[in-house]
Amino acid sequence: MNPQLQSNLKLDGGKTSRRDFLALSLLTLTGLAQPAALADRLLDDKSGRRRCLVVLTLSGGNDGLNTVVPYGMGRYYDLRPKLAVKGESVLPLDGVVGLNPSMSELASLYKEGKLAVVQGVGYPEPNRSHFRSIEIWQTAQPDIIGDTGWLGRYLDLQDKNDLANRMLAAVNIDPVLPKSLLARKITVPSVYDLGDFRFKVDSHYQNDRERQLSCFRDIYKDYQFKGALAGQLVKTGLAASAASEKLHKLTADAASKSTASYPDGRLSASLRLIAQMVAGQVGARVYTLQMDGFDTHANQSRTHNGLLGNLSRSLKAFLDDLECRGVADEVLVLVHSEFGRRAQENDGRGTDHGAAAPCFVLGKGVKGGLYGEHPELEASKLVQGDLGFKTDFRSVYAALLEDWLGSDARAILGRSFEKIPFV
Amino acid sequence: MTEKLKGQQIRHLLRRAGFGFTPAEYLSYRDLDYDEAVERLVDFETEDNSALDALIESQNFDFTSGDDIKRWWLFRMLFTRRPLEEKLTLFWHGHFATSLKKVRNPYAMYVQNRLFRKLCIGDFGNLLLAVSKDPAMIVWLDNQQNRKGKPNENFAREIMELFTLGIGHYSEADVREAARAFTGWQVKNGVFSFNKGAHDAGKKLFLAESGNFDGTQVISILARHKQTGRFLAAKLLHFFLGPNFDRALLNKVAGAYEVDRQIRPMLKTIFLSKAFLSRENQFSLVKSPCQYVVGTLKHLQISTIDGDLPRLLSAMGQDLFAPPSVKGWDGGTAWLSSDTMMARFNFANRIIGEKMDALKKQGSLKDLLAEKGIDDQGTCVAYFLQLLVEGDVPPPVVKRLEDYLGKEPFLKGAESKTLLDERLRGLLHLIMTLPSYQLA
Repeated sequence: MNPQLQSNLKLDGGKTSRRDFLALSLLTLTGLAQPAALADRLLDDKSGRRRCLVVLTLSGGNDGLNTVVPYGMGRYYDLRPKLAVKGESVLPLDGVVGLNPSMSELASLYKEGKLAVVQGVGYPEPNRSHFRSIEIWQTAQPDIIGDTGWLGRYLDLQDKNDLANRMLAAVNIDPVLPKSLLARKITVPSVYDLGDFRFKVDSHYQNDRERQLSCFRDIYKDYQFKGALAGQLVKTGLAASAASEKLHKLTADAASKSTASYPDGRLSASLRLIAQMVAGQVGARVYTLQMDGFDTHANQSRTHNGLLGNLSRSLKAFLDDLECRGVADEVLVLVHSEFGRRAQENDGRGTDHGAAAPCFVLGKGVKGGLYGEHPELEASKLVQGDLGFKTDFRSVYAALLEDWLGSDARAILGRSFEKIPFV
Repeated sequence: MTEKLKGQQIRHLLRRAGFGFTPAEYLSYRDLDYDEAVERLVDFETEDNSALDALIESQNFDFTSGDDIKRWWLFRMLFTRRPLEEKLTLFWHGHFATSLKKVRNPYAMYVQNRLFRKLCIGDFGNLLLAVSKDPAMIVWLDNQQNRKGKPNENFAREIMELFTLGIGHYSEADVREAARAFTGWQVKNGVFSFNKGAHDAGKKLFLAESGNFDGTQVISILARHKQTGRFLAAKLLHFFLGPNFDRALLNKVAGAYEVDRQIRPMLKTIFLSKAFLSRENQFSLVKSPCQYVVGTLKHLQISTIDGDLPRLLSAMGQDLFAPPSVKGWDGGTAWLSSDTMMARFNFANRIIGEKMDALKKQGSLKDLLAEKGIDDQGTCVAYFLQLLVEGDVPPPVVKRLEDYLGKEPFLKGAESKTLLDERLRGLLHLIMTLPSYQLA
């Protein structure tokens, strides 16, 4: 990690008053900053590199035991008489654990040193509610109901000049903004389908578009009205119009410049859009997205293997795409879920809500390998039937925040955590 | 009370208890006392809805098609004479959120939707029991796989966390015990069936009561639980009134539940409360996409529904019959992301573009202005602002919209006819993108 960058970020982040910052980021969003100089200014970044983090959430609670399979632990086969992945079909990472056979692309990436697998990630006193548990992951505040996200607090700490130089500080590729991106100083835009993400006017009167858009911006910029929702409506509307105009300009060029081939599906479309934004120098520090369908209470195998296969192929295509566009050095991906699933399978060939599970960190900048210990599977070591955690999820965050993004993990997470050395 | 103030209150009520109103609907409520209007909306069973039934009959909906059941429901929202019935059905759909994406059976979703409508305002215990036996719900929360010896906890957890008590009012042990009670509640040949062989008839300790409970008894314990009343009261208040209410009102609404677990008196308490009519609670809720869409169609008297309206709603963040998770839609500011707001703006654009073309009955916008005797920029902007946002915008906005219309001689001269049409459509589009128009 570059010490210069770190001190730079720390210094200015603390001094910026909220009012200055808002004025500045709105200025940027509304297009008053100089876009022409943008690419140059980004290269002035003291780290000499442009780095961003992609956080992919496997929504519903991914079954960690059938993702990173402990095929060398006999107990696994007792706990999963119907659902266990056979030892001979596992893609081994070492003599004890291996990847689900649906994930051959990730197994190759592991061999190439581009995939870090962190085992047994969780937090104390696990909550088995989807909503509370994902909130804990997103706020990184297990003990309180937090109102900012870990990535939002990271963005709040950013150097104001650095953020001003970036077209967008972060982008969420989903219709709903996750709590992880709730910040005090900025509103992160969400984009789902770039084609629809555009201020459109009556097809008969295309020439009127600029007049309407300019009227829209004038109105929104000065909109003063009562009520708690005013601020958020205005900020979101402005972010929408500004971000859409810019994204269209940037990605129009980037769209054709890659030969990577993605599988079908929503995840692929979202990852492709991220690759275009990275290559188009949108400059976002963080991208978030999610993949649904992991709440496999019943008849799990086929669904789960299908999801893992799609995940693996999509991630591989994404890394290829980044490589093809010459930006593979700039991106790290974190893949996690709100919790793993119960060690013992249920009677419906499925699994119920559990606790600890593995995370993936992948990209060209990662030190591939297996990190952390696998949770023990003996009945006496399970916690209410669930896997005990071996690595606090904030240890994963701390490494990403400090060693990848060059920020101050302690300030963001509230205290120090041992960093997992995968960067 | 002045007529003006009463008019505001009635329109507020129609927005909250329904999805907005056509001019004719408003006229039919305008001359009632406020209390009478509440009664007419809440005691909706006396309202003759046969015109809607006939209309739906004529549409030949295919209830085994996911798109068709979405259109069917939008039809109901748009043309019903019982707006609260549809609004409550939407409330329960969000509360007992079940999704086509997993159930994969549109007809089962349609059956569930009819169940919500039928039981929406009566005894909550009956509703909870019916929902627990509903085939779509059993598939959705995996109770089919909940069997003696190896219970599946999914339904048992959500019935407490999301349907009745809320998080923090039960233990993990309660989840496990309730799951045992629901073992054997299954679907067979598309209908509920009790599988005695899969049921665990043993003794359970559930929320400090013990007995050989089955699902019906667990539901009865939950429906009678004081916390259920409070949980539902808070949720109904947030949905119908907004976030500004005090503990006293919460207690009063919860108290209305405790009498005999009826939803109707809870709603009357809310609509007749002082807080409901307070200035701070008017235009204090972000419109849901359904409210935005159906309200717009009603305001502008557009009576045709596009085939792809369900898709547009989904882009705004509300895919009917496919809520994002078991928790339903969060609502409030969660409706607002740059992507979903852009989808609203683009829906508004479609309405003023293609839909206005189809508006034969109403004639052109120019004719409308002539009919209303509007012949200058100021009156025109004021007219549409009043129609769409009750004129509730900061003064500079009025000025800016007048500037947008332009200085050209207004409504005069055939040569500017196209320009006038362009600007009037642009004006309506811009009003529908205003922050004020996102609120109800």
